[in-house]
Amino acid sequence: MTKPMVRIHDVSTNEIIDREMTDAEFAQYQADQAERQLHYLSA
Amino acid sequence: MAAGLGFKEFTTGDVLTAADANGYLASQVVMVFADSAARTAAIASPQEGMISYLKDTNATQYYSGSAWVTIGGAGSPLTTKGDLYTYSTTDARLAVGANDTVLTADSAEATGLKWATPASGGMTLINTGGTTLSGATTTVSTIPGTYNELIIFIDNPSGSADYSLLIRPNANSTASDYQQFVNRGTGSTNNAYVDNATSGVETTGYGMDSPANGNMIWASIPNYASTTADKVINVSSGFIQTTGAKAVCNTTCYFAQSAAITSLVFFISSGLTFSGGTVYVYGVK
Repeated sequence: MTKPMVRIHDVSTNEIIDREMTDAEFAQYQADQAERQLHYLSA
Repeated sequence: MAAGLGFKEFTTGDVLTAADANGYLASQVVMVFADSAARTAAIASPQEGMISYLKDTNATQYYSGSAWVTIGGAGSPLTTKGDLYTYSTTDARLAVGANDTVLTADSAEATGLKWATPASGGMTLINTGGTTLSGATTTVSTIPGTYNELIIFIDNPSGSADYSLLIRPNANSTASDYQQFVNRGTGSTNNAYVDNATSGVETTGYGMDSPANGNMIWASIPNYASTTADKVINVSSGFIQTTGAKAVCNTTCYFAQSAAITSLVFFISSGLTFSGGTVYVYGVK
């Protein structure tokens, strides 16, 4: 399964990297989605 | 050489002796020499009160009885446009500094002065050229801790659908670290709420319309480089709401982390991805 892409701009080198999320980032991404659903139901 | 004899008014018929010529004249005129070496060679035994002029330094000096002392300083040491007349243990020249430098006191310098580049102030764009928002998250990383404050400007952010945008310092996802007060308004409606259940700084309160239509978010983080104090993050935004109405939002967030902020993660809600917009991160001295 393809994971979402992320962009990282390292200002010390001015290098911009686009890559797939790591497993840890993807887990956080899914948690964020659940959090946002709860938030908008309650806000 | 004879000591000076002071003043004598000669009258008609007086005969000047060698002693008169030496004591009243030769010893009491301004004697001109090429340099001090020539003077030493000419006057083996200078007498108190003698005056000489040295052509190499343009110095007029008197003999104190033990040394030659410059009268009124040597000639000007200035030679070049912009030179300054300064002093160390003697008169000294300080050459003009480079363009835009300022004169600065510095006790380590011989004259106590130097030309120096003024301490920079104002805002410096840290992420050169800005960072175009892309993907599910966009991170500005390796932020230097050399400024007093961060100013963040997000210009016209856009998502793949209507969305809200959050900022997560240091990728911190602990919701209890974000104690926020969100005040939002649209049309004639205003409401405010506190939020300690969101793991990021709220920037809009409402969902933003997408594609972007003049959305703007501005945030500031003073004392962001502190390693001992928690941070306070202020956000102001103006945007088009998902309903098409104009909306504004102000958020104040107490970020309960004392670590220096070295990265900022920008992300949007509910599985969407950025489709445009640029984030600019400025450091303020």
